[in-house]
Order: sequence, then structure tokens, then C-alpha cells
Amino acid sequence: MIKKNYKPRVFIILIIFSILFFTILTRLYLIQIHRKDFFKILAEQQYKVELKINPPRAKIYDSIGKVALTINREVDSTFILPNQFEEPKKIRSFFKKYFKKIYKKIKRDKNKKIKFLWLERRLSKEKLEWFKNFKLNDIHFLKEPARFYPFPASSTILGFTDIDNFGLAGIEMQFNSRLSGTPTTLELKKDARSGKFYFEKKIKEKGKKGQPVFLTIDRKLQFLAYEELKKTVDKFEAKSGSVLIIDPDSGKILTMANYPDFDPNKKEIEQIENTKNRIITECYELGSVMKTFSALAALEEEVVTPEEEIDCEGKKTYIDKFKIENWKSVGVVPFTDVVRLSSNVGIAKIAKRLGPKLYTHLRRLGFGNKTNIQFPGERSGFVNPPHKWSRPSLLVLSFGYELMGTILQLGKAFCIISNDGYDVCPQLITKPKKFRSTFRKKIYKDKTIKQIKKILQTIGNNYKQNLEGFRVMGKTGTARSVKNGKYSKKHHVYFFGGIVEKGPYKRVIVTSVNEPKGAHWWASQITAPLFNQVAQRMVIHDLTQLGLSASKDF
Amino acid sequence: MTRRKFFATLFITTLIFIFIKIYQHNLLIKLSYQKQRSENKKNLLKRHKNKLLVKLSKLKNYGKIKKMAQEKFGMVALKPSQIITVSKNKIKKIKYD
Repeated sequence: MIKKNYKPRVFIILIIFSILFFTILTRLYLIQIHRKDFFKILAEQQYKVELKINPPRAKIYDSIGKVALTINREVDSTFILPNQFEEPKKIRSFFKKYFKKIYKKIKRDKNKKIKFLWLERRLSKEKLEWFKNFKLNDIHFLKEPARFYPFPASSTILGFTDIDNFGLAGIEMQFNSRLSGTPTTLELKKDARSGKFYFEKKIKEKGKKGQPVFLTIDRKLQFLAYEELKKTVDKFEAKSGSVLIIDPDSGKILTMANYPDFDPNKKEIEQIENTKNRIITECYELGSVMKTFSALAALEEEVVTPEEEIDCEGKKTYIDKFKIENWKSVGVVPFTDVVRLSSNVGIAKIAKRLGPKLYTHLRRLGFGNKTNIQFPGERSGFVNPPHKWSRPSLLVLSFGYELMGTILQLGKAFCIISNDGYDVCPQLITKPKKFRSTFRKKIYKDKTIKQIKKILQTIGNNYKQNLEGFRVMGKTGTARSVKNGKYSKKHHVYFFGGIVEKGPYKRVIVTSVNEPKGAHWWASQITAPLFNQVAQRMVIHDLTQLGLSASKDF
Repeated sequence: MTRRKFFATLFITTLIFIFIKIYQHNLLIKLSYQKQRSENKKNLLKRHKNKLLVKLSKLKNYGKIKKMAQEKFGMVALKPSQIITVSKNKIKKIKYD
């Protein structure tokens, strides 16, 4: 009996096992071969982690290159994971009380699609403590990189970064990709315990370190100039003011101070207007300071000599039926005094002799052209070309109207005079080297430069207090501001362009004060004393730093 | 007998190999943990250094130094004419005199 039943039973068992074996084989085929990629990815997701690490943002250095003008620091931020709340009731009541917007957002999200939400970023110490005091498990904290600016006087040059450390203004913006570098992607094989530790670390995509930027700015001189500017702007309750110091020989900008400015270390910027570097990004009608360059053009073209007597007439006169006013009655004076006494009539008469050549000279000096200083928002300005001239255009151009220029362009033009007629390219960056220019071309004759320097010295001598032993040259400028499309009688912009020299030591200083309050001032009362104060500070700084021989040698 | 010996040797060798492999793996994990702990420590020190650097920079603020110099120590700004430069040659001359 047993023998009889043995074969079919074995057969059945064999079939059953065959089916089972086949099923396992099929399953194995499906897992190992057919759906290999799917399971491979699934497994990798469990033990592999991809990490993107941003390199620290590179620093910005001043001309000395030892102390950074920007430092990286860590700030605290707080976030929530709405689909992973441990104590939903507790956290909701917290939001209802303190973060109504977030409360509404979470309430609306019934399908729990929101996985991550920032509560607040860049927390102050007090705010961090405030959050921590609630002892809520669902509020998470993390450290984020941010910038710290130890020298706020340079804020309008350096600019600032946004909440994600992306450059939004100034050098931070201009060199954002260079400073930030590129992130490195790492592949980690994590362990089963926590995922915090790893066994293997592979670089999937190699990033690039951020490269530092070196400026020509001298941070100490910047601070000294800024302090003097602040004093003047506050004293005259002016709208704004700027100070520019250039080494004319190399074109290196040593100082670019603007006031009012902003505190880049504050979380929020109160007035976006104050983030501007007005020296580069604002254009002005430059007024009488332009007489320097009209005189330079006239002397170069030999249409006048410094000794020639010019009839500057009374307080007002008509040239080509156009009324021109002097600030005071001048009379017949040598050409040197036309510039010294800042006579509009005198310079307009000389400009008539120059004709369209005045335009050519102004363009040659750099007005109407960008200096290519590698700073965001640089303005090119405007010089009214001869084919667009009306009857008074040439006349008013000679004393600084119908042209718009930046303070930097004005500084560059003074550099050409200080530099014995050699053109110079203003520089703000020393590294990367590709932005350094060594361009030098003589564009004015030595004789002309000597003559104009002599004229400017007659003015500069008035603002030479405490600068004995130095040759001081300069020119004041007052221009009317345009308000509602008309020249205002109450609002003015004041300038002073000057040169301080002693042997090989040369510096060009341009000061400007915009719309001071009160009575009608003259540049000799505002920007010229500011020039003198800045020059004094600068000379002390350079005497001690550069080891110049002082006025009183031992 | 020889076959038995062969299989026994093979078995023991395999076992030793497996133990070595397990030991190696464990050691690797241990070292990996150690390395990461050191890395964390290094990062903490870096953070601390950076914090101190920020603190130092805040103390070096020119505005604060100026205020302290003027208000606490009664210092005043120099005039260029008050600076006297002593050149090396002149020091020598004085010594000889």
C-alpha cells in the first residue's frame, strides 16, 4: 500500500517544491535583474547621503592686506518641521500667540505639504534666549554663516550680503562669485545608529574655494576722513557728503567716505539710499570747480596767458544776450585772478575763445566716460556735445553746468594735473590683478600744468592751515541743485578739489557736501575747510605710516 | 585522514579569515568614529576661534578707540607740525657731537 502511494506523493511534493523554487527564482529575477535599478536606488538612499558644503566666503582686505575688512561669523536661526510636530497642541498655541501668519499657514495646510519653515533668521542674543525659554521641542535651531564688518566706515565700498550670504551691493556684489566660490558635493555612507557618523566620504563634485579681494583703500585713512566728513555734514545739517582721496601717481583710491551711510552689521538697512557709494554712483553738475579745467584747456590751447588782463565786469553782465552773474563785482583782473576769484563772466569769455575745443578737453579729462573702476552702478555722466548746444551752452559749460560728472571723475581730472599731465586710471582693486591698470599717457604739456598749478596754489594757500611745508592747490565749486525741473536758489551742492604735494608725495582730495541747511553758503565755508581738515589728518597718518619727512625735521 | 585534515585546516582558515575581516571592519568603524569626533572637536575650536576673532575686531573698532582716547584719557588730535621725524643720520650726528 505504501509503495503504491509513494510515487504520486513524491511527484506532488516535487511539483510543489518546484513551484516554490520557481516562484523564488522569479522573485529573485524580478528583484536582482528586472527591477535592479529601483532597488539599488532604494538601498543607496538608506545608507548614502549627499551633502553640499559651501566654502566659507572669502575675505576682503584693505591695501595693507593683513586685517580683513570682512569677517565670517555664525548667526543663529530658527525653523520648524510642520509635518513632524511632536507636541502639535503646544506649538500651535505658541504660534497663535506670537506668530499669527505661520499659525494661519499651518492651519491652511491640511495635506501637510509644508515640510520646512523658517521662523526667524539671524537672531539676536536676546531673541535666541527668548525662543529657548519656551523649551519647545518643535522649534529647531541652526547656525548659519553671515558677514561681520569690523570697519563700518567702509560700508558704502564693501556693500553687504543678504540673508543667504549673497552679495547685494558694493564689492560684495561685484565680486560675489569670486568671494563665494563653488560648493563641494560629498557622498557619505552613513551608519545605522544615527546617521551622524559615516564610514566613507567621497567627493562627488569638487568645489572651488572663494578667492579674497584686495582693495586699494587704507582703512585708517578711510576712518579719519569719514570722521571729518561726519562732523561737517552734521554741523551744516546737510543731506549728504563725500570725501575722496587718490594717490595720483598710481591712481590708487585710498579713501572713499560717504555720509550718511549705513551699518552693515545691522539686520535691516533703514534707508537703502544710504547704501550708495555716491562718489561713483551719483552725478552732479559740478559748478565752479570746473573752471579749473576750462582754464587748463585755455592754457593748453594757448588762447590765454596767466597774466592777460580780462574784463570780468560787474556783478552781472550779458554775453551773447545771455545773463551771466558773478558772485561779486570783479572788474579787470589777470587771468590767474579770474580763476582765483571764480568769475563766471571771465571764464565764459575765455570759453568763447575755445569754442567746441572745450568739449574735447572735458572728454579728454574723463568727463562723460566711465572710469571702469569695477564697482557696481558706476555712472558715466554727461557732457553736452557741441551739436546739441544752445546759445548759452558753451558759456555755462565753462563754469560747470550742462555737464554731469561723478566725484570720481573730478578726482581723476585733478590727478591728471597733479600727475604732470599724465592720464591716470583710478583703481580700487589690487587683486585680482586683471583689474589693475598701468595705463599712462601724457595728455597735457608741462608748461600748461605748471601754469595751472600756480593758479590753483593761489587758492590752495587759503586752506593751508597746519600744512606748512606742503604745497596745497585747489579750487572751490558751488552748483545749484535741480528741484522739480528748475534750478533751486535754496539748494546747492558744494565741492572742493585739491592737491597736496611735498616732493614725490602727492595726494588728490575731493570733498563734496550736498544741500546743507540754512543760509546760502559758499564752498569756501564748507568743503574747503573740510578739505583742510581731511588733509591734516591724512598728512599725520602718512607721516606716521609712510615715514615722510615732516615739516619740522629734527 | 589527509582529507579530514585538509577540510579541518580549510575550515579553521576560513574561520580565522572571517574573524580577521570582522575585526578589520570593527576597527575601521571605531577609527571612523574617532576621526569624526576629532573633526567635530576641530570644528568647535574653529567656531570658537572665529567668535574670538569677531570679538577682537569689535574691540579694535576705531570709533570706540577714539572715544576712549578722548573721553577716558583726554587725548587730542595732533597737528602735522607737531610731528618730528628723527632720521637715522641725524641720530648718528648727535652721538658724535
